[in-house]
Amino acid sequence: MRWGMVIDLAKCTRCHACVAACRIEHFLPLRVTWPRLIALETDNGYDVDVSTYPVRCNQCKDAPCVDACPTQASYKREDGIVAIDHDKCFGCRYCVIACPYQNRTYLSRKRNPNYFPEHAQTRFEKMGKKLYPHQVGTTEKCNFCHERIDAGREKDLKPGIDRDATPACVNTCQPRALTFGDLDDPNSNVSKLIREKSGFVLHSEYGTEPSVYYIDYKLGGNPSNKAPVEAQTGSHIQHLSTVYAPSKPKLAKKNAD
Amino acid sequence: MANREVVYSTCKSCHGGCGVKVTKEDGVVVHIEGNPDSLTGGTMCSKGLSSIQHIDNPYRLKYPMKQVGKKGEGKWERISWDEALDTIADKMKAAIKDYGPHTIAISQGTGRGYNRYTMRLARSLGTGNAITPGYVCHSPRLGLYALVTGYGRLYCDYHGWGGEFPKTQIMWAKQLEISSADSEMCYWYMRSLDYVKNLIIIDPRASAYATRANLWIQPRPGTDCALALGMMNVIYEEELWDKEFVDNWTFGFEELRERVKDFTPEKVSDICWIPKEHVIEAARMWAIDTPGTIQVGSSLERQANCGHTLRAITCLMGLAGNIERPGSMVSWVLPDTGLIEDFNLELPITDEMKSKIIGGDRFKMGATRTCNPDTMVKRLLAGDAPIKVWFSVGGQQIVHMANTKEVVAAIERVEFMSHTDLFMGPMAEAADIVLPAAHWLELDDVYDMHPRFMIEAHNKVIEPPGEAMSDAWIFNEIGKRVVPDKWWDTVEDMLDYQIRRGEGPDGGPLKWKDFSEKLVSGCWGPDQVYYKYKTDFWREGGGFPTPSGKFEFKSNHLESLGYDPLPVYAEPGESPVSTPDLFKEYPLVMSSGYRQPFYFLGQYRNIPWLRSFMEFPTCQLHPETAKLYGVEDGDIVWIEGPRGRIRQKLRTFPGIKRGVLMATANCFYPEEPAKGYHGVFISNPNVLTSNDHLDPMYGSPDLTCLLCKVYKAKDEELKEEVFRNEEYGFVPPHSQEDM
Amino acid sequence: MNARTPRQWMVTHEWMIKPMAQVEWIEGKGLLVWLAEVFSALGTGLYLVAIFFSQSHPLAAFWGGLLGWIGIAVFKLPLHLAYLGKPWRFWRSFPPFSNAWKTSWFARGIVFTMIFLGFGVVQLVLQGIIAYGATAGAGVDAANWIFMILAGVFCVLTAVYCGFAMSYCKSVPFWNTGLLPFVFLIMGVADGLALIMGVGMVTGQELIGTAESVTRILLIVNALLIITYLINANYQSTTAELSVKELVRGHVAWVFWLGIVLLGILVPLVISVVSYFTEQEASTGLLIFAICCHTVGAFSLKYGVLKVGIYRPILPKAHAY
Ligand SMILES: Nc1nc2c(c(=O)[nH]1)N[C@H]1C(S)=C(S)[C@@H](COP(=O)(O)OP(=O)(O)OC[C@H]3O[C@@H](n4cnc5c(=O)[nH]c(N)nc54)[C@H](O)[C@@H]3O)O[C@H]1N2
Ligand SMILES: Nc1nc2c(c(=O)[nH]1)N[C@H]1C(S)=C(S)[C@@H](COP(=O)(O)OP(=O)(O)OC[C@H]3O[C@@H](n4cnc5c(=O)[nH]c(N)nc54)[C@H](O)[C@@H]3O)O[C@H]1N2
Ligand code: SF4
Ligand code: SF4
Ligand code: SF4
Ligand code: SF4
Ligand code: SF4
Ligand SMILES: [Mo]
Repeated sequence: MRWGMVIDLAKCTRCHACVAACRIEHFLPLRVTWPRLIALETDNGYDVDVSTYPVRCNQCKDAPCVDACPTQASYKREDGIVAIDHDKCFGCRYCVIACPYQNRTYLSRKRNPNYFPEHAQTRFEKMGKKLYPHQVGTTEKCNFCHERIDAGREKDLKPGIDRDATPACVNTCQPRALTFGDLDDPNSNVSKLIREKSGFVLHSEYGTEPSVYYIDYKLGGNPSNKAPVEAQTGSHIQHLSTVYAPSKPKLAKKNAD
Repeated sequence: MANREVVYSTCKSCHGGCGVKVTKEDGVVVHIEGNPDSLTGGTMCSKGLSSIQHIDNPYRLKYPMKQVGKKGEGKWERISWDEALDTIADKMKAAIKDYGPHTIAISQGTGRGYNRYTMRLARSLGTGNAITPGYVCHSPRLGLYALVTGYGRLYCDYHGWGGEFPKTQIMWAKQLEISSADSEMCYWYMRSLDYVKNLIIIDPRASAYATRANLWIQPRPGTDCALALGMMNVIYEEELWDKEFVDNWTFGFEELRERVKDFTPEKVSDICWIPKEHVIEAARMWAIDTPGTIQVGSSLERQANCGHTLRAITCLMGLAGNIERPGSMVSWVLPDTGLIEDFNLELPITDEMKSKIIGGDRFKMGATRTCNPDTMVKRLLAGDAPIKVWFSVGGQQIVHMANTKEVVAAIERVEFMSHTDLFMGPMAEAADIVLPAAHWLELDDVYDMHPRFMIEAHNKVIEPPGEAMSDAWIFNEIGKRVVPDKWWDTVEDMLDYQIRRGEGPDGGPLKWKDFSEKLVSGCWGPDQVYYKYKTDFWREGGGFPTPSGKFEFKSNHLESLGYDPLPVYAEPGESPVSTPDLFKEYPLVMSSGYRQPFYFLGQYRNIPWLRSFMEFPTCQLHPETAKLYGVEDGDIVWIEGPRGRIRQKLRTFPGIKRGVLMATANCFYPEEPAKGYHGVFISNPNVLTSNDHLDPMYGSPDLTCLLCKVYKAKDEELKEEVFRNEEYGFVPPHSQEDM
Repeated sequence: MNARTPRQWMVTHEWMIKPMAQVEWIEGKGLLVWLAEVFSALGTGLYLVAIFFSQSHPLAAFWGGLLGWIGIAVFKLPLHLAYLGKPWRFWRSFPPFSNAWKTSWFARGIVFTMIFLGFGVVQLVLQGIIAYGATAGAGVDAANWIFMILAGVFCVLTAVYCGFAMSYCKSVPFWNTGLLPFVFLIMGVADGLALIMGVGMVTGQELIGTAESVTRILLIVNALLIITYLINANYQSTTAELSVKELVRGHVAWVFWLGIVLLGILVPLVISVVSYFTEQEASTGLLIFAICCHTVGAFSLKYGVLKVGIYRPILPKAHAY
């Protein structure tokens, strides 16, 4: 099992929702963001490319940050997630510099003012100190929401399929540009996407073997515009339609009046 | 064990509509995420999510207050709700008695789920002078759809309920992926892209999907009408129209053919500054690969030729038969709770009220149910005081209307104004009384979704801060005090009334309590009806609810109002073609708007999480254009037009048409002092826009097609606090740790 | 939001599209890393030179060695620990609490440093006995030699590990080269030689001649090494090229030209070359001046190299690079 993410560059709209979702999920201090968006905007004279690369920790298979860490606070989990034990980290930032993708952030005091720096902590922040304490003086990064994955798997939920076992950013993404799943399983959603849409990783020449893949393609050109039965019947939302359903057939008529 | 509680509700951090799941622990909101069991599939944007920093924001208004200094001085004193509401009600009563109800204006900003309260309050008081940004946003579209099809609410069918998704989709001056909840939810649109054959983006600036689309057309801002006429020309020339639909269901086909004859691809190419192949290609895709949808953006409505532009685009829909087909433009069947606007429509606008609508004599399509705000400004400035009492809820007219200088001067002349808001903004500073409003997490209300096939519930999750109250409550309290017979004892009574046509669990009228639990009332899947014009739905024996019973390419009604019955192209008021001399001095075409995903118009610059994404209002120029005018990426630049100048941060962006400057709109700085209305003159492009040149039908000013020039701001010209943030400087850090 | 509320901390467009300089190890508290590294170079250099080149002058060997050891124990190590976000957790990097030394140069560095300090203290006691004790016998001498070698080895490791730690970073192409540890080592030894002349001046021992002649060679070697390093980096990758440009022509160019080239290499070289040709020993004033220049050079070299450590952009395709 090796959790991975496929990021769809054709679909990402640079909306920043993933960033916001991660901030909430992990009660992130004011000036820390785990995922980031990188704008690629080029015009080579005949072709314009406007893309957004959402980046987050690649959970590298061969992770320079883990090798660099002098305390073994950074470690690799069985499921491929690179995690940090914040009780061990002594804040040397070697990993921050060694990560070739710049996905780590050292939590300095400066990065951790109150959300409204000249005001008291908000209720959310106070609660965060209890539910998700961050340690100033240690280093942080995206952890693939392993808290969600662990809690979800305990309930037999499938990461990437069941929301409660899936990273927060994946859940919130409106165009569904993020897909999560098991890279070791050749039939998983992510493995299929990587195969079918020629997934690639950033800086493969570093040899870090990232678990975050990207796909890119042109929109449009879909062979059929026929709606699948589920869409036609709205079966996935039927239970929501009208508040109490008994006399539904009368609807159209009623509106016509 | 901590006490965990989950509450489901509906977000309206923008126009609204996403289903939300909120988790509380010991009474504190600790988590917000989308409600997977909603029509938006559990997805949410950054604005809705960041509500966490909204509800606890220390800058929230918490108590009613009255202005004790001069307007705009920022001197306030706390008062009681009774004093506030009674004062406002007394002023209204006095105005009605002394000058007539039409001297009361009720205003709002863009739709925040309370449009019907605004309109009902106005109508119940007897004034037609409601002030809304509708005339630059949505009203022209709906009005022209109504003119052409008889039914105002055409929406893009992204759902597949009729068996088909659109094969061709046009995003016309629209970035629905960002401006979601405007007409449709972006979630639906993006899902439907899995079935699309042609995606056409018509936008001078690359929106998110432009460089991935099949065709991206970059017209000169303000010339879209010509493009639509050109596409129709191609459809006529190549005989691509939908024969069945046109022969049986349309009116004025030959007259339209005559009208578009001149608009050859060559001519359109000259007007719009685009290759002629683009016109032909777009027309072919649109007419051949049907069904298709056009998502119209309000950039087109923020132009003084918007009436005809939208008319032309609507005709284009009809020519291809993209009306009421599955996967085309559809007017949805309502849920069993009925049309939410009936709440205000049930109080008619009388002829007497109509005759007193400001601008009604001039803008016969626009100023029929609401006033023309620009005309109001001119009349206030002329000193004829058409408005004595202004009740403003939400909405930053000072920021969002054309010609800021005049707007400020005019509003300062209003004798009495109240403003309801969550924060102190420019409009609040210009008011005599401010009322604190509740956030959507702090209130119960019925929410009406744009496409009208559903309504949703806002459920109160937590208590508002201080004495803040919901807008519904505030409207009802004012209504009760002035026209008690048209309002309710309690908010819950009022909510019950709005949904009474729905069916409750006992078979009786639906009650708020039950609705709030169920969250949604809607109509979809097999309940939806397509091809309504082929049935008795609108008209016995079939047809459209228009005077001719047909889809009207030509409108005799329009002619009777004194307008051209067929679409006609007009240059913007200020353009390289219409004002060539000005163009010499101001060599760039300027557009404003381009919604940011993390801001909602003037909102959220005081939400740290959201402000972090873009500190300064930002304008875009092509790198080569920037080089031509000696400005660089990251510079704070002056954007100057004939009426003034503003400063924004420059981003060179290869995705924008050369020679065009795109400025962020609706910006003020919450952190700037009250004096100067929170920095409304620093970066707001409406300092540059004109309220003299207005659309003849709708009275809309040119906000998205003007002329300007650009040059770097000198250091000493950046004296305002916003630029002088000593701690970090305004030069962006070159790295994340630079902070 | 108040005007003084800091706001801009993440802007999509500015982040990692362009190459950005690392700041963790040079700005703000990061200056401690720089100082620690400088003391590391000076301390190890001085210690090595003192004990290996100056055995014929026991007093200088002792005092030089001691000063070197103090540089490490009292400056380098505490500075480094002070830089840590959680200094009192420093023990977490030692075996047996962690096996990180297997992969981490940083962990190795701390281990090397601690071991060096341990052997060093013993060696210095022995050296002290030799220098001051009347009864120094062959046994002491032999023991001293053993500990000299032991401490020396770890001293060299301490001197080079920081270069290896930096050269391990694929993220910073300018550092990502095997030459870096040697540049640092040679420069450190040259600095040590300069300092030992100073020690010699105080202890009144005649070291200057030898030290000078070795310095001369080392300075030339080092100059060549730095040139090779820069040329190599210049061709290695666009980002490394940018680092070189930044160092030689950018906003830290003054550190390079003034600190590294002029004060660190040219002035000391000129002084020693002049004294070579005039076959006259440089005056005490001039010597002190040369030593100061040298030291400034040591500070400058580390500063410059750390400062222009530029990250390779995440998107190799991005328009600028
Ligand atoms: N130059 C230029 N001008 C433009 C545009 C453009 O693109 N370019 N766009 C135009 C368009 S389309 C529009 S719609 C207008 C929009 O303009 P407005 O609707 O005026 O937009 P905002 O500036 O966001 O003002 C909204 C105010 O309502 C408050 N508010 C938000 N939610 C609530 C609520 O629930 N209750 C209450 N009581 N208050 C609330 C906010 O705090 C804020 O002060 O601007 C128009 N002006
Ligand atoms: N996140 C977010 N969502 C919003 C809003 C917000 O502020 N933030 N505002 C809401 C409101 S009130 C509205 S009205 C809607 C507006 O939503 P949209 O209609 O999508 O408005 P914009 O993003 O301003 O403009 C859309 C596109 O029009 C292009 N454009 C500008 N001028 C022209 C022109 O002359 N011709 C053509 N063809 N294109 C042009 C711009 O480049 C831009 O990409 O969004 C709503 N949703
Ligand atoms: S939420 Fe999705 S679309 Fe939005 S920026 Fe993140 S990845 Fe892109
Ligand atoms: S991306 Fe960076 S932080 Fe994440 S595993 Fe790879 S090297 Fe470590
Ligand atoms: S900062 Fe923490 S996690 Fe990173 S290398 Fe140092 S000890 Fe390990
Ligand atoms: S996977 Fe989780 S931790 Fe990583 S960026 Fe997404 S939300 Fe944040
Ligand atoms: S799109 Fe609108 S309704 Fe949906 S989460 Fe964002 S702000 Fe809320
Ligand atoms: Mo709008």
